[in-house]
Amino acid sequence: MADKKYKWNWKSKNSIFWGIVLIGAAVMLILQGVGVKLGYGISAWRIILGALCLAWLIDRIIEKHFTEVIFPLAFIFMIFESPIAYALGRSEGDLDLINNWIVLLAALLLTIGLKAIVPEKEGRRSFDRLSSSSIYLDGADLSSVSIHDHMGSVQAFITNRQMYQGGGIINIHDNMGTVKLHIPREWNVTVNTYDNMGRVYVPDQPDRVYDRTLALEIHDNMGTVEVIFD
Amino acid sequence: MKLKIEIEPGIPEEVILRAPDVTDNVRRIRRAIEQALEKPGEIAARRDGAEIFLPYREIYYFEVVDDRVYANTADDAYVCPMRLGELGELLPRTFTRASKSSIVNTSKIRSITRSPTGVSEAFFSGTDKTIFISRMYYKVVREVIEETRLL
Repeated sequence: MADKKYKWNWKSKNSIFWGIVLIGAAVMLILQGVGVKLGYGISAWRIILGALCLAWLIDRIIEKHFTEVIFPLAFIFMIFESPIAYALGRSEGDLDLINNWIVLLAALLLTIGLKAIVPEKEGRRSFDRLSSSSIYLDGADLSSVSIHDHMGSVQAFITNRQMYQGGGIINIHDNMGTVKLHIPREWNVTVNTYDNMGRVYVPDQPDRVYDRTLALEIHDNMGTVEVIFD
Repeated sequence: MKLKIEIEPGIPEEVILRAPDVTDNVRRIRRAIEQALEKPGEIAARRDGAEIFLPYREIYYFEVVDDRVYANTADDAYVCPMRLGELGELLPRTFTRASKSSIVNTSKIRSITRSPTGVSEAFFSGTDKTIFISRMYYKVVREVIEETRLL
């Protein structure tokens, strides 16, 4: 097969947001380095990881994906468990509040439970995936589709391609996973990316007239999203 | 080469080819017998509301998603009205189960990579699609590949 050229999509509407987070983390690192006491056990790695998880949490809240705030909260808890335990009055040799695997398992169950209870927006078809799997989208119904991938590997295909009239939109929410979306090369694709430390690959399309357009809204958190033109 | 046919009531119908070595003659005879025994070459499927007949040689794999069977070619996917078990009865030997919910055409496989978890991923020639092979079926897939590609 011929080599493909991919457009590495660095442009992100979150660039200012991430800039503020990283600058804030840098300021805290400097303060900690010059000896300013930020709290028991607040080390450089805790500051950096905590800032990343906080950014993730804020992003989920801003995007109004309230069912996806559990995991960043869980990671923040695990990162700052010792300082939290110390602040609660535990002695230095007894700073483990709870096993990390239990925290992660509880976060997983809470996320699944919340997603089962909180209704999706009307008129939207949503696909949630937690592991390796395939999704088949119907070309006759691409008006508003969502694909959610949590640490899994997803291949998405489009069937009934001739039935697609254009004007559709696919929302991809990828959390630390991999999503590959197969799209007919005869369709024009427009992409908006909200990229948090992830990678989005979109091949260049030839400059010509297309009879149908499909919009992609890609929200990528530390994962990989790849568009493949068949 | 001698041709010997043994008729015995009650025994299963089978063809045994005995030779001291794998020669071109043996390969030719094997292909001729396989063609004579070949199963129907097309599978009925649906796309864009119409029924079409897919040559099974163009199919890379079948998989069940949301209670539907999809036949995947190099650049398209079709809904197949048959169940996976029924397909298994019809398809030739190069097709075999890759997991509980998929059948793969081993003749299209270009490479297989194994992960530490035991789940393998098969890559095909002519498409970017891939399919996962579960640990339970990996050995069978390898055996089919070796058997159908050896000669």
